Amino acid sequence: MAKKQTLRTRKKKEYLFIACIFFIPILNFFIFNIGGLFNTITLGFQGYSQSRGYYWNNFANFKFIVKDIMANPVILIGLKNSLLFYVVHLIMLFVGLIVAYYIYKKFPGSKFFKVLFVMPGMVTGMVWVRLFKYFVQQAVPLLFGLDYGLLTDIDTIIPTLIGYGVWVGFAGGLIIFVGTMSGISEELIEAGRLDGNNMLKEFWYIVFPHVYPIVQVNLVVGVIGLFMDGPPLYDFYGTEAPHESVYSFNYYLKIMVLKSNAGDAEYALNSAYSLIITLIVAPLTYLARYLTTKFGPSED
Amino acid sequence: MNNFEGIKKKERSRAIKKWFAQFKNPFVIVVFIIFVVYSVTLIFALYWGFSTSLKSRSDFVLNKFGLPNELYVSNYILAWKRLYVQLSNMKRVYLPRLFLNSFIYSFGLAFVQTFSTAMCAYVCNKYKNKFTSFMYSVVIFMTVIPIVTSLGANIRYSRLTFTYDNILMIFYQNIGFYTGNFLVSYATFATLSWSYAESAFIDGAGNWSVMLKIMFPLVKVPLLILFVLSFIGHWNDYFNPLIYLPSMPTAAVGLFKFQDSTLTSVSSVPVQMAASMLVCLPCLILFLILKDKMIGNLTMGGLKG
Repeated sequence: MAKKQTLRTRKKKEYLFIACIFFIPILNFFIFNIGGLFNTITLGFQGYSQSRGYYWNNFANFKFIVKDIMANPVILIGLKNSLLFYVVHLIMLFVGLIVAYYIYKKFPGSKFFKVLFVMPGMVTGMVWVRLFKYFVQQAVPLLFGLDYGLLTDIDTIIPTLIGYGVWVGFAGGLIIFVGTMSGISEELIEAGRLDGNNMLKEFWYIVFPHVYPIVQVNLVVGVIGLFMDGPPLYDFYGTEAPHESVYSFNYYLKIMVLKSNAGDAEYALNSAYSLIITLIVAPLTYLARYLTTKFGPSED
Repeated sequence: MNNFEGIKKKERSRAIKKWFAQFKNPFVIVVFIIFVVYSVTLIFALYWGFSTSLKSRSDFVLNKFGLPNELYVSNYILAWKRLYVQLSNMKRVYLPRLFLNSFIYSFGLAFVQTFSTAMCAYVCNKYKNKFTSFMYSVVIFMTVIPIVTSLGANIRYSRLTFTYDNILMIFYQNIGFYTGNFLVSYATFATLSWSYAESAFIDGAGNWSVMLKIMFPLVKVPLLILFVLSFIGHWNDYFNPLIYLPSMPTAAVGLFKFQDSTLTSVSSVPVQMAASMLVCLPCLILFLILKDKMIGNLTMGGLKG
């Protein structure tokens, strides 16, 4: 009986402890996540005027968006540029994997490269933007006898910004990839070697399945990049990118809200865009998850 | 002694031969060359930024790539004293204050996020029941599901929830369980044996004591790394403070806004570079001190299915 009471008391204390730990996080989850999502959804169905304030306009925002996509070439250009950067992002994910594998295998120079390659993520992005900007705007024209900097000439802006993305993102995910690879059992590697595994087989049959969950998360979560990826135009130009032909879709949505004359009406339209993107991306994310699970390797 | 030196020499030459033997692998050669080229670009960029920060305006105009003809340390003093961010109420916030704001913002957010998430991850990992399993599923759901929230709606909602331009409310808002750190913390706690806790319970310790005095100290290194990475991430973030904390600009916001500065004394490239070097220094120092612990010690578990 005494033992049962002790167990009951201990369980009560345990539940109280769990409740204390989770009380504020769950409250915040409902207020800021669920509440924020609810706010985005409801705002997407509202309009705004100075006299009326916010008012329900049903699907007027969505009708406007459909017309805008048909009539405004900037949106299609933005989608094209976002897609381009998404493809670059995917390529860089696998480049990051190769970089991490080289470091994990302790090949020549790996100690030095390991430290140097993580540095771009440790230094303020604006510093790299500055360095890159001054270099391509001032040094490159001097070196190659160009009339304009690479970020001024409209034809070279997108390739230059792709170059910037590759330059700073070269070893993306290095810390987490190397950390995960370090968890692979040495006996497994040794066993593979005894079975005649060369480096490629070792990577494909042992290392890659081990890090695949992280790759999968990146692929699945990254589907949103189809719309939200893009050159870091805001970092380089603020709201004053030189020409609409270099806009990404994300930048288009950003400056809709951040330009100086933006107000509540733009907030509502911005929300409607976000809802449309979510509706398109959500099933694509599930599809990506299904495909990456079905066709991906397993550790077994 | 000669024998010993001879053995050392032989070991050294064996190590050098082994190092070069790795280059028989074409993958190693190709990747090594690419890495060397990439390293040169990174090092050159940092050298260029640092050397530019030590040049006078005229020296920079005439000598864009070389070493400074004369060390112009006053660029740093100018950047420290003269560069500012102007607020909407016309108040000027200079670099020292921007640094202080960065420290408060980064430290506060890193602390709140790391420890609230770690506590939730600890409970989910060590107190297995229907509730904690459900919370774990919610985290996975939030990680995978693409919910695109609108910037405009977020700004409006932050005003409604009193988090707009309010640093304490922003700290409070970040007490949560659903960040990427949850999965790393969860994987970290999964490596800890519960027998430590059982022994403590037998000795009469409560749940809080076990968590804070026994289990957390056992994972203090991974938690510290998560804290430092979070600190660095927030120090380097300019966009969120720019949008949600307009009256408390950080150093990163300052760097973003300095490029538009029209003041002759501080709009020069060398002074701007000096400001950039100052801003990236704290994180660089932190990273160089903790680099060995950071790389190779974190893993993100529990992501299958």
